[in-house]
Amino acid sequence: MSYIDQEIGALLGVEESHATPDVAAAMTGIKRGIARRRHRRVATAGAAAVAVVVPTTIAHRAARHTVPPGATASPKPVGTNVSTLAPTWIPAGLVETGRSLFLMGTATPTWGATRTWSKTPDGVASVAVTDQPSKEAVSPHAGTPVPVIVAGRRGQAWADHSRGRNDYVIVVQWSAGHWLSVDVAALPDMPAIALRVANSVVGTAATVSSPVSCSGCTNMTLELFGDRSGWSGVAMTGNAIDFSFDRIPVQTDTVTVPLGGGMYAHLHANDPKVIAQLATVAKTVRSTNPDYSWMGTRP
Amino acid sequence: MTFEEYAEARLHALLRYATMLTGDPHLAQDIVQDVMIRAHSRWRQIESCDMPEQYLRRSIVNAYVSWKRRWSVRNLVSFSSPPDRPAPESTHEGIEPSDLWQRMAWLPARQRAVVVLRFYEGFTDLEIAELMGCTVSTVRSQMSRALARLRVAMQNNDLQESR
Repeated sequence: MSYIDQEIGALLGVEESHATPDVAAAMTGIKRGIARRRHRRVATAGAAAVAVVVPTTIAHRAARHTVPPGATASPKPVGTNVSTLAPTWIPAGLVETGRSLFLMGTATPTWGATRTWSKTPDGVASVAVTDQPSKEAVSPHAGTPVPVIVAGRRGQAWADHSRGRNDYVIVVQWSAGHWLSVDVAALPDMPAIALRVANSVVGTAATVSSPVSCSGCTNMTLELFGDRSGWSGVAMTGNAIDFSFDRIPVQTDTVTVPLGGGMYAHLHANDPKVIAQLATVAKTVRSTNPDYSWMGTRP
Repeated sequence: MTFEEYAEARLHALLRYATMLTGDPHLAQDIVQDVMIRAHSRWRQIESCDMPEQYLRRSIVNAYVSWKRRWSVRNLVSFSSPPDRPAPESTHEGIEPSDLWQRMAWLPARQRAVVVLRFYEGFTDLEIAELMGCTVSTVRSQMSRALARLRVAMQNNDLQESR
């Protein structure tokens, strides 16, 4: 072995002995990331699921239920409340661990919302209920659909085993421009659970609120997850700026805004071109003092 | 083995591996987290290939190489900041390992990855080529360029010491 080889070998040996990775922090980050992806998947599934083939048999059966107040109004700035559909039954042992707000549509974008129940915030076994605004019919993006009847409305159900998933999904048009989606993951007898949850949904509005507003953001898809011991969240904006919310006051490569109550928003440029905008956008971030009492609760 | 069981058993080793690869424990944690989160959604397929460790290590190398390509300018800044722990002891008269560590940090990502895989993991050229998804000749050329750069840096260091 040459001189330089010996030097490098010795150096790496010394460095290895100094390397003390923070496994607990990494594990927490992984669990949060998985939960984040799960929530994002549920929240954005609607966008991918807008069908080319319109199942008119569903469309003409649109029920005359009252559309939740606010759900069809003009888009509101993030930070205000968004109303959504609410299930009255969720399997035993699951509590609400996540909420997600998202804009759908281009001409007249409308807020939609997903609420998720699971045993823990990073639990894979879960039930997610989405109120999805869409003028077009929503249909399966995986699996083979079968017809179902939900509260007198015809809908579709399918098992989704794509990309490692183990989900069962029911979609039904709830009212004009609004679709109810129930996504059950990694639970026993998922079809029965999904149908029971879907049948329990009532038109009563449930309010979903956001912890922050950002007037400098073009729009914002927001996800919150947590339990009674605390919460965290992420948001994506049309400015290619991502947010994360947690109790860590300092993070690398971000601009941090204190939200109060020990929480911080970290703004991260998703594209090197928008790094210069981070400080400007950060100045428009406001805490809106939302209500987190829903975390860890059941219908 | 479930994803959770695997992460419980192997996360420490993967973090250590990424730390050696990147020379930055914070970046290592970010990269490993990203790789593991992506792996979670495809765990069934990854586990069925019988070599999840190799798959994940390859993903870590790829993530590091892409990260360094995107953020090379900021990386130079971060490595110029003071270390958050004492410098390791000297292993050779006139050369501080911390100098060499810094020189390695300035290597292009692929060259640094090849050096770490050879001298830390003890991999052969063929194994490195398989891990990095390139040819053996590419591994050899990257290695020889990396060593040449480090030799020049160390010679300059020797010259400065002798003045």
